Parts: sequence; structure tokens; C-alpha cells
Amino acid sequence: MKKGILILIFAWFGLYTTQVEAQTLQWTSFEHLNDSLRKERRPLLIFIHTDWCKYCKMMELKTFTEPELVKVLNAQFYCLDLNAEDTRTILFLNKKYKFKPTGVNTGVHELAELLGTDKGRLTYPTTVFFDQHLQLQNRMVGALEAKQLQQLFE
Amino acid sequence: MKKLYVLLAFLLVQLSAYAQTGSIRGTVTVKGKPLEFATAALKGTQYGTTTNELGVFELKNVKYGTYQLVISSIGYRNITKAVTISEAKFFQELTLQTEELENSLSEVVVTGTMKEVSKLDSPVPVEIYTPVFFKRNPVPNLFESLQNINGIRPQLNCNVCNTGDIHINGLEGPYTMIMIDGMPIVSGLSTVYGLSGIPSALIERVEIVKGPASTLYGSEAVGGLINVITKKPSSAPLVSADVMGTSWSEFNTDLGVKYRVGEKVQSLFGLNYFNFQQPTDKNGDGFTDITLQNRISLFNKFSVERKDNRLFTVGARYVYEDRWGGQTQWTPKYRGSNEVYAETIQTKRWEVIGAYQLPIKEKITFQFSANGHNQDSYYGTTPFNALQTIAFGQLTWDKKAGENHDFLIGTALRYTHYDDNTPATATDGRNAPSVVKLPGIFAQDEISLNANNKLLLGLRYDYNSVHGSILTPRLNYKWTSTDKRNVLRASFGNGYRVANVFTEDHAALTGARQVVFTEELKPERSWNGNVNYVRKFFLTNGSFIGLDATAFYTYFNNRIIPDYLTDPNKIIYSNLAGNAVSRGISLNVDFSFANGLKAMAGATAMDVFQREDNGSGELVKMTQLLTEKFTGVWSVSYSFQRIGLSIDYTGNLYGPMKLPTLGPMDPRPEYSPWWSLQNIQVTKKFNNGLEIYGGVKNLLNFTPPRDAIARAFDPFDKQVTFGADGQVIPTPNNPNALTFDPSYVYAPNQGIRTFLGIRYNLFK
Repeated sequence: MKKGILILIFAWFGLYTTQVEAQTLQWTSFEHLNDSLRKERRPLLIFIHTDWCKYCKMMELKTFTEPELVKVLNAQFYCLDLNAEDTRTILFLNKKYKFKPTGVNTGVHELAELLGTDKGRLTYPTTVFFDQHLQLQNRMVGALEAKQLQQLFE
Repeated sequence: MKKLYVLLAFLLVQLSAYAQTGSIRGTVTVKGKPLEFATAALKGTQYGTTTNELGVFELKNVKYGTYQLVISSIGYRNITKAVTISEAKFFQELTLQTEELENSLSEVVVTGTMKEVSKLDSPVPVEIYTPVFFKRNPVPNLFESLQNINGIRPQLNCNVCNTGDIHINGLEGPYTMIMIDGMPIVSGLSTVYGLSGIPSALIERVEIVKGPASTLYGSEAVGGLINVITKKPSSAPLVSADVMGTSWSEFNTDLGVKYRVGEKVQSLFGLNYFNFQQPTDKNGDGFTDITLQNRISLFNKFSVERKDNRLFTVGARYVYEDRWGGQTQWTPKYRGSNEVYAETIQTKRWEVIGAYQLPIKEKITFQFSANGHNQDSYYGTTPFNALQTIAFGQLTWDKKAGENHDFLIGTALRYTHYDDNTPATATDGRNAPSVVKLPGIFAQDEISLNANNKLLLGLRYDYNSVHGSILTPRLNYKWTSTDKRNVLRASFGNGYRVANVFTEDHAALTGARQVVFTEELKPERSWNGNVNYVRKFFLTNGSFIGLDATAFYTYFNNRIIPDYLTDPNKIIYSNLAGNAVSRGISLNVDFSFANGLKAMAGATAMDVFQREDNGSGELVKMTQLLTEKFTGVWSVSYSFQRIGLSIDYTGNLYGPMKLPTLGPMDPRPEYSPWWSLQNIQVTKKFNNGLEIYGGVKNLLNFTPPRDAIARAFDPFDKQVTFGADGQVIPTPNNPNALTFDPSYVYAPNQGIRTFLGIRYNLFK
């Protein structure tokens, strides 16, 4: 009986947590990407943004909270958010990328520059996609709406 | 038997079905070590996979044929190898070696791009403006662009020479610090020049902090801070050009070029040239409406690529400007004479700014800045020649301690040498340039209390070689709601500043009034508090609404305020026997609709005043001159994406300002009227990087009244009769007892005009 109750409680918690997960996008950190990929190869979505870019904020708070899109992304993708002005060294696919300062308290991260540069320039936000074979498949510049992203997956 | 055949045939079919496909297995290595996460794909087919931790991949069920096997991984050289899968070789085992590359990636699809104003993640309320914002009302320099920002007013200080300064929330120019890429252009004499001469195409964004900024930037920046961030080599255009002309024959050119100097040095060059040489007198007062100007500014920034991406950047700038304004018949031969009045200013200014990160493990950066400013001028018959040299060095150590603390410790030294031809730099009748050394130390800690709360504590100590010790603490706090849609910031700090009336107060120079010091001026001390709240709304149809509200309060226990009113012939400077306050609230609303309509509106209501002892120990409140109680700013933009056309409508509204009148008999109103500047612009974008824009400025054709300059017909007061006490005596020719006075100025004299420009950006 006690066991039964315990199982029920766990099941309840399990349900509860999956419910919560279904609502918010699970961002995979660059630190854990290797482990995740080793467990299962999945396509990647990398969202390149900065703290000061308004349309990035809009995408983060609006697009990436649409339940339908979040469901798809959580189930099929590893989503990574890359702050283009992050000063930490980032390990991506076993290669290290560093921050490149261009002034005092200003600069750009090598990885953002590498992944996001399109037609000779890097604009924010830029969203890049890798397929499950880890090949860069697509790069989308500008704020995207959930609809646009969903169309992309169909 | 038949059955057997069937079985055999079946087996054969099975076998051949298997035999039609083979597999490829390979090991990918770099310098003998396995390469994980490399893509292995057969070109032009659906076959693809990735290598595992051992660098091994396997492509199974590959149909017989000859393929191009491509191994690729970001940052490594691609390997292409022909592989044939056939009956004879249905299993291929390969070993492939690749090598590390300098970064390169192929490029893919593009859509549109958009970004504008935002706030940084920091506890200090930083407002961000991108060139998209400034382009809505194109002007020749960043100084004028700032009029589009709520709470900031580029003010003209002089009707004749049109020199100006920047008022942030009612505090004048000297309270504001200007920086390029975080490197301060430390300056007393005409900081405004820091904002001209950087082509807009090289500007990535402009960060503005209103109120006490940070311990880092010294104790003077109580009004705020303007940080111009230039583009990174990855985002700057290879070549950019912007040429604009107006129906007033103003002409402005901006050029920007990105280039490399050898392997390791990336460089950005900018040139700005502004020309206005058409004496125009539309209001008929005999004086030029707008000062004639010829200005060239050259800017170059070098970034040196170093090991581990350590910072080393040096920028240099040179500005030369020649301007004159005055009676329209003036020619250079009248310079300094008392026949024809003009104010002529020739400015030569150089600046060097840089930052170098020490080649050690800890992040220690040396910042330096030096500038020389040489002003050679005449205000009527009064010459003013000033030379200022400033050297500044700062060493900062940025240290993260654990997850929650981000320390910044530093030391700074500033050296200022200032010399001019006025009594300000003379003792006992002999020239004595002023030399001030200002060493200081500071420390700040940005503490992340948890996901929702951040705290920034700072303390700074400076020693002024003339005025002694200065201690300035600062505190900033930020709260973010869990859904990140609400942000509250509070800041508190003090400031300390030594006023130099000659370099800061233009009116002291015009020669129209005599400058009087009743006592030795003491430093100004101030306390400032700011509260800021930001709220974001996202509507279901894709629209966005942002609200940003701020309340500010600054208290000065001494403020050097010029007294124009006691004696119309004098400007009297003294320490404030009382106190001064600048307080107010501001609100910005920002709409962005899914259909392409964008609108922004901001309003600031403020009250800037001093309470002064009226001689009997009673404090009397007096409103600050030339400071509006209300200001509003707006912009509405709509873009027709399909045809690449956009329309911008921008405007400003200013409430009445108290103006410096010449005594009780002056017929000019004591307060300015409500006035507004409104502009409209149409921009057409072409796909090849070309943009044509044009429009109308000052649609309402607002100009100040023609009698704004008192007695413009008698600039040398030749027909003014003075009494024995120096006061003006009313005469039939001068019934209101006035003298020549160009300091009654609140709006530019430039009426409606059209403009047309062309912009070109080439990206590589």
C-alpha cells in the first residue's frame, strides 16, 4: 500500500514536471551539448542574440514560449542560446571558441561570428539550424515568429 | 523439388537484395586523435551520419555505386574521397585524416533584419539606440541626433556662434561623460566635439545612462554617460558613404572604410565633412540665422589581433572646424574689430584613446586617453584663446569570484593642463596655466543575489591636487520578474565636480557681459537617486509594447550657476548659498506592430531650480534658466516591405523655458513659448546596398522671434548710454535700456527646409 502511494506520488511528480516542461523551452547548455548528442543525435537550433537587442528579447519571450512550437522543439531539437557578447569560452562540437573584445566592455564572441555571419555581417537575432548529421542547414536573420519556425519544420 | 527452387529463388532474391547494398565505415582523426561529431555524408544523396567518440562512423545500406564521401566539421578541413561500393567491395573500411582550419563557414538564406532600442542586462539602466533609430531623422552629426531621445536636449548656447552642449534631464553638458567603445574622452573644453565626426555607418549602437553611471567613470558624470560603440569588423561594411544636402545649402558627407593592415590589424576609418557657407538672414535682424561652418573630422580605430583574443585597440581622431556667425556683411578682415560684429571660432582638436589588456592570465586592462584642444576665437572684439591638454590612464582588474560576484578594481590618473588668455589662468597679472592632477582608486562588485536580483556596489576615492579628497559611493539594484517581462532598477550615488566657467559657460565669453567672481569657487557636490521600471507586453498578433518609466532626483549642495539677472552687464559667479535640485519623471512608450508600423513616444516633466539665500537667511526658490519643464519626443515609422519604402515622422515638443532677459524693461518675453520641431522623411532601399532618402525638416516652420538678439543693430553698444553705476540709461534710441545680447536663445533659427541624401553600404 505504502509502495503504491509512493508510486502514485512519483507518477504525479513525473506528470507535473512533464507538464511544466511542455510549457517552457528547454535550453541545452553548450556544456551539456556533447553529452546530449552522445545520447541521441538531434538537429540543433542555435539562437544568437545580445542583451541589448530588443527583437531578440521579443523572440525569446514570445516566439520561444508558443506552446505548439515549444513542444516540437523540446521533442526533436537541442536548442541552444548563444549570447553574442558572452565573455566566457564556449566548447562547441569539441572545439573551443573565445570572446573577442573590440573595446572596453564591448566585443563579440567568435562562435557567434562564425555561426551567424551572413553575407559579410552579423546581425541580431540570427537563428541557425544544424541537421542531425551536424551540418549547418539554415541561417535565418531577424526576428522570427513561431509560425515561421513551424513552417520550417513541416 | 519445385518447392526447393522457390526457396532457392527466394533466397537468391534475398541475397541479391542484400548484395545490392554495402556499407562504409571510417575513422576520422586529427593529428592522430579521433574527431567526434564530424559529418560523414555522400554528396548528392540522403546518406549521412556523424562520427562517435572514437571518430568512427558507419554508413549502412548504401546502394552500389560510386560516391563522393565528404567528411566535414566546423573548423576542420573538408575531406572528399571517391568511394565505390560494388559486389566486390561491398564493405569499405577507411581511415581519414583532417586538420584544423581557421574559421570558415558557408553561407545560407537571408530574411530581413530589425533591431532598435533596448536596455542592457546590467543593474545600471542603460538605454541603447542603434543607427536605425537615428536614421529616422538624419542630421550631420551625433550631437544633433540626440534630440530624438527623450530627456536629452542638444542645446544651442549662443544665437550667433551656435555652439552647444548636451542637457540630460536638465543637467548641462559638463555633467555628461562621452566615450568611444568604453574608452572615455575625458574633456572639459567642448566635449560636444566627441560626438561629431564618427560616420553613422560605423556606429553599432549608442549607450546612454541617465543619472549616476558607474564608479568606473569618475565623479563628474552625475548627469549621465554617452558611450558610442563602433562596429565590430564582422559587422562593419567594407565601404559606406552617406551624402546629404539641404535646401539651406548645408552639405554633409560621411565615409567609412574597413581595411586590414597586415595579418593582425583590423582597422576602421571614418571621415566626416560638413559645410555650410551661405550667409542667410531670413528673420532680417542683420545677423546670420545659422553659423557658417566648415568642419572636417577624421577617425581611425585599430584593433590588433592577439593571442587568446586579448584586447588591444587604439583610436585616434582629429577635428578641425572653422565657424563664424554675426552680421551678414562680415568678412575675415573685420575679425576682432569693432566695426562689424561676428563670433569666429577656429578649433583644432586631437584625441587618442585606447585599451590594452595585459598579457597575463588575470583580466587586467590599461585604458588611456589623451587629447589636445586648441580654440582660437573672437567674440566681437573679445579674443578667447584656449589650449587644453588632458592625459588619462586607468588600470582595471576584472575578476569573477564564484558564480555570484563580479569584481572590478582599478586605479586612475588624470592630468589636465589648461591655459587661456583670461584672468582665470593668471595670478598677479602673470599667466599661470592651471594644472590639475587627479589620481583615484575604485572598486565595484556586481552581485547576482539570485535569478531575479542583482546588486552593484561601488566606491571611488580621488585626490584632487587643488581641492583635496573626494569620496564617491554608488549603488545600483536590479530586479527582474521570473517571466522577464518586468524589470525594476534603482540607483543611488553622489558626484563631485569642479566648475570651469570659461570652458563650460559659453556666455562668459561673448564679451557682451563682464564676468565677475565674487569669491573663490568651491567644488560642486551632489547626490542623485533614480528609479526605473520597464515593462514589456507581447500581444497575440505579434505586436509589441514596451513601457519605460523613470523618476530622478539630484540634489546639489553647491552649484556654480551664472547670475545674469542682478546686473544686465555682468555675469556673476559665486558659490550657491543654498542648494539646487533637478527632479522629474519620464515615460517612454514603444509600439511595434506586426504590420510594419512602429511608434515611439517619450515625455519628461522636470523641475530644475535652486534655493538661494535672499540675504535674510530665507531660501527662495528660483527656476533654472534655459531649462524646460516639459519635453516630448516622438517618432512614427511605417515600412512597405515589398517595395522597400519607409516613411518616418519625427518630432519634438518643448515647454516654456525661463530666459535671460536684460532687466525689468526688456520687452522680450521672460518665458519661451511652447515650441515644436517636426520632420518627415521617405526612404527607398535598393537591393544593392543603395538607399535614397529625402524629406522636410521643421514642417511647422518654427523659428524664434526676430528680436531674440537684443539690439542686433548695435552690437558694440555704441549708442548705449551708461550711467555712473554702469547701469544702462533709457534713451530715445534705447527706450528699454538694453544692451547687445545674443544669449537669449532657445531654438534654432532655421525654418522649414527640404533635404535629400544618398547612402551606400557595401558588405563583403
